Amino acid sequence: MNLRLKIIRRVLPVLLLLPLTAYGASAPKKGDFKLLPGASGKICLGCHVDLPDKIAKKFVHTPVKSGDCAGCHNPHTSDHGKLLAAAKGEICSLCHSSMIVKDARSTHKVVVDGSCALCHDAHASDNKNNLLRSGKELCFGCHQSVADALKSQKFPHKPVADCTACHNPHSSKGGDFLLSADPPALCSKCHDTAGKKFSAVHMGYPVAQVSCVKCHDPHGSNRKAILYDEVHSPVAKKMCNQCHEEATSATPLALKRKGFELCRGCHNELVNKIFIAERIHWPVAGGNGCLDCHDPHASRASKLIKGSMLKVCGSCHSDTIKRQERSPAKHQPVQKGECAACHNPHASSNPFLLKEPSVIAMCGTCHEWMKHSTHPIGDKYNDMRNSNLKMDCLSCHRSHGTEFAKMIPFPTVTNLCVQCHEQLRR
Amino acid sequence: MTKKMVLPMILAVLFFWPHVGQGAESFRLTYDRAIQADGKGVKLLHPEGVAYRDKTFVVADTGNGRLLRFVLTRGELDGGLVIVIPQAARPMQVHFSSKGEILVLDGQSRRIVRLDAEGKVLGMVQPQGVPGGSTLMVRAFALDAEDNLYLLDLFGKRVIVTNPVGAFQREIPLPKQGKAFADVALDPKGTVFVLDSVNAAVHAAARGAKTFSPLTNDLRQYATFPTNLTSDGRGGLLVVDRNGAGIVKIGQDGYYRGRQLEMGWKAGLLYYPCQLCLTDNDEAVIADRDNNRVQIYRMAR
Repeated sequence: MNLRLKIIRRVLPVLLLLPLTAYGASAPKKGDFKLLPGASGKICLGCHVDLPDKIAKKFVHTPVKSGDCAGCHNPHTSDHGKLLAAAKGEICSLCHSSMIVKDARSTHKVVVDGSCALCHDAHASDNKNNLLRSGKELCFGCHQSVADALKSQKFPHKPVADCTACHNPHSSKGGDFLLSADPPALCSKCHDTAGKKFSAVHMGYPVAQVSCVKCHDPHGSNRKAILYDEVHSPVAKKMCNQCHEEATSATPLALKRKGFELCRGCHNELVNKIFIAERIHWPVAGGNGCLDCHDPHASRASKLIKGSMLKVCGSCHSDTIKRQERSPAKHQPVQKGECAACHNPHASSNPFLLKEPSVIAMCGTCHEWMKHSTHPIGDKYNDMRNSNLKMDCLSCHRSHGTEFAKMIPFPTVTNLCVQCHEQLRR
Repeated sequence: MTKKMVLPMILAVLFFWPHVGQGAESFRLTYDRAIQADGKGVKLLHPEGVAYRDKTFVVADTGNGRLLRFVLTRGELDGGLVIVIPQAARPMQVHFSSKGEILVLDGQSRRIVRLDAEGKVLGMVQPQGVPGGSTLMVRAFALDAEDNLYLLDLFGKRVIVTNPVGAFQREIPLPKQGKAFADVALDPKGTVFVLDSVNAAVHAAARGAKTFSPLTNDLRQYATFPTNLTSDGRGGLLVVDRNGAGIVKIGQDGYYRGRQLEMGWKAGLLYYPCQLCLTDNDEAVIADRDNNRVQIYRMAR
C-alpha cells in the first residue's frame, strides 16, 4: 500500500471525529474563562439582585454556595436557555450522573427527560435536597389522581404521607413503579408476614409470597385492611377455598378448576349465556378465561376489571385505541373507554360483538336524530360500491375514528360522496 | 484501484446478494372476480371461511349459517350447492382433506364437522385421549398431507395433533409470549405455524418439534391485527390482516416480503377479511367478511 493511502486512512478518522471531540468539550470547567477573583459568582450578584434572598434559604445548591455560577452557566453566550452551559437534560447530569441507576427496572420520566427543575430548585430551597415542596405535596403536583383518592378514602395507608417510603424518586432497580423493592418484600419491611395474626387474617393461606397489591391498595382505600374498593365476594367473605385448594393442602394456592370452568361454579348463568351466543370473545374461552380481563380478588375498577376498559381492552386492541387517538373526531364512548357501550365484552350473536343486531339501531341508541334526518340508510338501500351491502352508518363512518374529520375514511366529504355519486365527481 | 480492494468489494456483493434478491421478490395480488351469491341469487352474509381443492371451492357463508360449494368448469363457477347442517350453524373455517372431504369448524360449538364432497355429514371430529380434561376450545384447525388434524386449543393453550379420526397423537404448547392466538397453519414440509394476533407474530415448530419458536419479529407495522394464516406452499406464509384489511407475505426466514390490498368496499378492496386459500392456478381466494363476498385475486410471485 502506498504511503499516501496510509496517511489518508489514519488522518481521515481523526478529522471526522474532531468536531465531536470539540462538542464534548463544551461543558465548562473551572478556570475555563480565566475569570478574575470573585467573577465566577460574587460579581453576578451585582445584577441578579434577587439571588441573595433566594440563596439565604436553608438548603443551597453546592455551586451556588461556593459562588460558582459558572459551574452551570456560561457567563458570555450559550445555545441554551438561562445561559446554561449545557442542555436542560444534560446540565445536572454533569455532576449528578448516577440518578438513573445501572440496570434500572423503572425510571421516573421527568428524570429521563432531564426535567430536574420540576422537582428541584437549582439555586436554593427551604426543603431538603433543594426540593420545590416537601413530602407528598411535591409528588401530588403531578400525581393528582392519587391526591384526589386520598382526600376521600376512609382507610389511609400511613406511609403514603411520604412517597419515598416506598418509591425511589429517580429510578429503581428493585421494582416497577419506582418501588424500592417488589411486593411482598417491600411490604414485609413493615408488616410481619411470619406472625400468627397475618396467617389468621389470610385464612392460613401462604400469601406471604404473593404480591400484596393483588388485593390491597397501597395508597389506601375505603375498605378495611385497605382492600381495593371492589372486592370479589368470596374474598370479602374469606371463602378462599371456593376457588383455591384447601389451605392445608400441598398446593393451597392452586385453583380448583381452570379458566371459565372455575368461574362457572358461581356465574353459571352468565357463562351459559356466553357459550350460547354465536360469537364469543375468544379470551373468555382461553386457558386464563375470565382472568384475562378481571381480577379474581379485588380491583379499583367496577366489575373487578383489571383497570379501565381503555387499558384492558387496549392491551389487545391497541390498533383500535391508537386509531381513536389519531382521529381528529373523537367518538365519545371510545375516548372515555366505554367499550361496553356498544360491544358485549363476553359474547354476542352480532358482528363485532355489538349489543344490537343492526348497526343502525346500535348507533341510534345515542344518535337519536339520525332516525328522522339522515342520508338513506337501512335494508331498502343498497351500497352502490358493493351490491352485497346495505347502507348503514359504517358505510361512511368508522366508529373508532379515522385520520380524517367526521370519522370518514376519506380526506374530504366530497371524496366520500363521489365513491357512490360518481356523476358528481369533478 | 488496487488488487487488495477488489476482493473486499466482491465479498460485499456476495454478502448482500441474497438480501437484495429477497427484498425484490415480487408479491402482487390483482383482483379477478368475486363470489357474491348462491345459484338462486341469495347473497353471501359475513363469510368467514373459504377452501379450495381440485377445482372446487367451499365457502363458509357464516352469517347465513350455511356452506356453499362451487365447482369450476372451464374457468367458470357453477351455481353453487347450498349445504345447511345443524351441526355447523355458524361455520367459520373450512378445509378440504386429501380425500376431498370438507371439514368445517363451527364458531358457536367450537367443534369440527366432517362432510363428504356432496355435503353429507360424515360425523363430528371427536378428539380422543387428549390429556388435561375434556374441555377443548378450538379456535382454528389445519390438516397435513396425511390428513392429521392440528387443533388450536385456546383452553389448553396448545396445538393438539390427532390422526384423521381424532385419536390424540401429541401436543405442542403455545408460546408463552403470545397473547391471542388466532390461527394454525402447516406448510408442505410439516412445519406447524401459529399466529398471535395481538403481537402480530408467527411462531413455528418444525415437523415433530415439541415447542414453537418465534419465526417473525413483531409485524405490527405491517399488520395491525392479523387473524388468518396460510402457507403459500413454497416456504412462505400469507397473513390476513383483518383490522388493517390487507394481505402480508412473510418469507420462509420470517422476514416481511410485501403487503397487498387495502380497506374499502369496491371490488378488489377488503373489509375485515378472514380465511384465505390458494388455488392450483396461482390465485388467492379471500373470505371478505364485512363486504359479504369472497374475492379471487391473481397472484404474481
